[in-house]
Amino acid sequence: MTAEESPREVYWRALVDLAARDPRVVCVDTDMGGLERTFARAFPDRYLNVGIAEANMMGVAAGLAARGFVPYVHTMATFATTRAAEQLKLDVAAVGLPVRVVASHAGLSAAHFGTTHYALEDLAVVRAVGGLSAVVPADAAEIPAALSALHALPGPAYLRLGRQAVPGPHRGAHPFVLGEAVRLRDGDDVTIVACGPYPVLMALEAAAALAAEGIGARVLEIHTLVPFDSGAVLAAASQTAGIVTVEEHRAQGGLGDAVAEATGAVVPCPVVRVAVTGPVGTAVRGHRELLEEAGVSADAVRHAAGRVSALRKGQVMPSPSTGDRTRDHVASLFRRVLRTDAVGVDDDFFTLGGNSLLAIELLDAIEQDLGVQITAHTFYRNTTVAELARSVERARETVTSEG
Amino acid sequence: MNATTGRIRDVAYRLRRRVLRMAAGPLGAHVGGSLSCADILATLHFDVMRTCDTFLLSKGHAAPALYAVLAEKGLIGEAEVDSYGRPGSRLLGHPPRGLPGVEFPTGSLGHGVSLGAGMALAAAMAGRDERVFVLAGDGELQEGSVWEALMFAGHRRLGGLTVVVDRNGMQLTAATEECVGLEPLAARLTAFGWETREVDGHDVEALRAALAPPGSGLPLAVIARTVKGRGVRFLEGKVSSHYAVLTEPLLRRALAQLDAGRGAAP
Repeated sequence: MTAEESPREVYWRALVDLAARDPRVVCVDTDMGGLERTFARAFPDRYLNVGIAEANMMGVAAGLAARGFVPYVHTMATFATTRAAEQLKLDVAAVGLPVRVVASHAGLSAAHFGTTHYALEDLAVVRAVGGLSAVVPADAAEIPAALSALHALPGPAYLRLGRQAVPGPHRGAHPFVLGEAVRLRDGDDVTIVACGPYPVLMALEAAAALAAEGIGARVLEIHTLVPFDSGAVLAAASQTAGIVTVEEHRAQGGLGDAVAEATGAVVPCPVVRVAVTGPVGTAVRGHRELLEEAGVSADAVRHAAGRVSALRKGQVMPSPSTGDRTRDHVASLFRRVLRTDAVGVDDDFFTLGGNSLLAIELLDAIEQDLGVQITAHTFYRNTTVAELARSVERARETVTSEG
Repeated sequence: MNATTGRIRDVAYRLRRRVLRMAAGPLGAHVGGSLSCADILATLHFDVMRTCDTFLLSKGHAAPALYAVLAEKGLIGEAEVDSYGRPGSRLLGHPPRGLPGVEFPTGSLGHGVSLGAGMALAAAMAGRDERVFVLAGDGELQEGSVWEALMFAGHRRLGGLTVVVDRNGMQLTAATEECVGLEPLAARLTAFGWETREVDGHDVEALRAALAPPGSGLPLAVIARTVKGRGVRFLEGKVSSHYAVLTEPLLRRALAQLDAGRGAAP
């Protein structure tokens, strides 16, 4: 398996292996592409393409499961949880049947497919519906083990997969144990809890940057959202200054809420969520760029973790300001316009290779994304990320006070 | 009328009596659509279905009729029938899973045909001789998921699946044809790949014939033309019978009308 192999391909192979071992496995497809040339070739009698009809797919799968089969149903995460939400809730979850929902194109991984294909609330649906085990592998290497673990369960399960290959593997030799967090990095100042491929990568990047600042960040990978590893999170809550969560999901109902639920009543601690909070891009971008624009970035994790770790030193935690979000957003626009990943908050636009034409592009992007006009005059006196972000904040205040 | 038919009609009479008793509970009941399907349920559960067969009440609001069947089979007691609508009773307004023979909670319309298709498919894949009967409401057919399932079962030629449509022609506030019309229903079902039969849904002999396994290998749709509130004159054919609370005097009147109509031709 190569680092860049798509999670789908790894999954398809793992499913064929599973079907070879268990004759109850049925592959239910909604014409997604791929399974017809992998699973269907190996087991034509156990491949069922129900067409583009997700609600019916969920009901048919429940019927199959009620009669002894173990159906694996395949659709995109958004259709599995919001289009077919009721069938998922009533026919599958409420009855506890062993239907396995394999939800692809999760989060923003469908990047250029656009807003209809993003799934940023699926985990909230799955957690709220209840009764389904839910796993989000952090890299392709984790998929076969996750699949085997879910297959062994008597009840329903949700497996969240991305569309694109993402950098990895992240997790070295840690075994996959359903329901157990993986400690990817030790640290006692602050804990970063991450779920999903890019979030885990960003957590590790942020932890490395924090180490350079003398801050020890523990990194926990949560691959299983249900059942949730409360023990690992509670240990982090009591042993470090607080928790920063990072996920490819809206802040409502996902990993951050799961962490807050686990800690809140037992070991209350600051839980700062790095999740999709901003508007989700409506122009073609790469997967990571989309996430960063939406507020999920290694920088955001680093800032949040830095603030939380300050608590340990007896400092008051600065309020999670809109300023930080603006700074992250401006940094992401620098990256986009300058086509580089290496942008720090104090980096200067022109030192990073900017020129006057790119400056116009940048100011246009700021106006479009952030809704404020920065004049060239202001820009040339505020050319770092931090300075420009402050200018944006000032311009916003002006607009607000005038409005 | 042969002996079997007479026996089924007696069952249907008792189902209707129980439905009326439930509608006289504190919260009332979906009485019109429970009375309209009583002959269908009696024919299915006390003649057509074998122990290896499956029934799904897709129109879950006809729960009182299903509870009446459970009582007729002795799976719940008559005292429990009278608990309907009362605090603590497990006989909810729509059938919860866990009652004898209730595999799925139904009542949200548009689920049953998919579930039945999955079960019929499982039987076909396993080479099992199982017929799956789904009772759907006609208003329910306005749910798009039903047509996903109909299209699927027709395409896969799921001969083990039978959908009976309780075609009483009415939904909560209006006639189906005034709300969003379903006709030509038989032509639509046929076009979706189903063997389609139309029958008087109160004629037990005709129902028995219509529910016989199809020779075509296609899934079977039986459009059972029924009357909402059937058996009680002051409820029959009235949209307002959809959900009713029967006071004691009304219950007495309803039972008297039911008795008076007993033995009349369908």
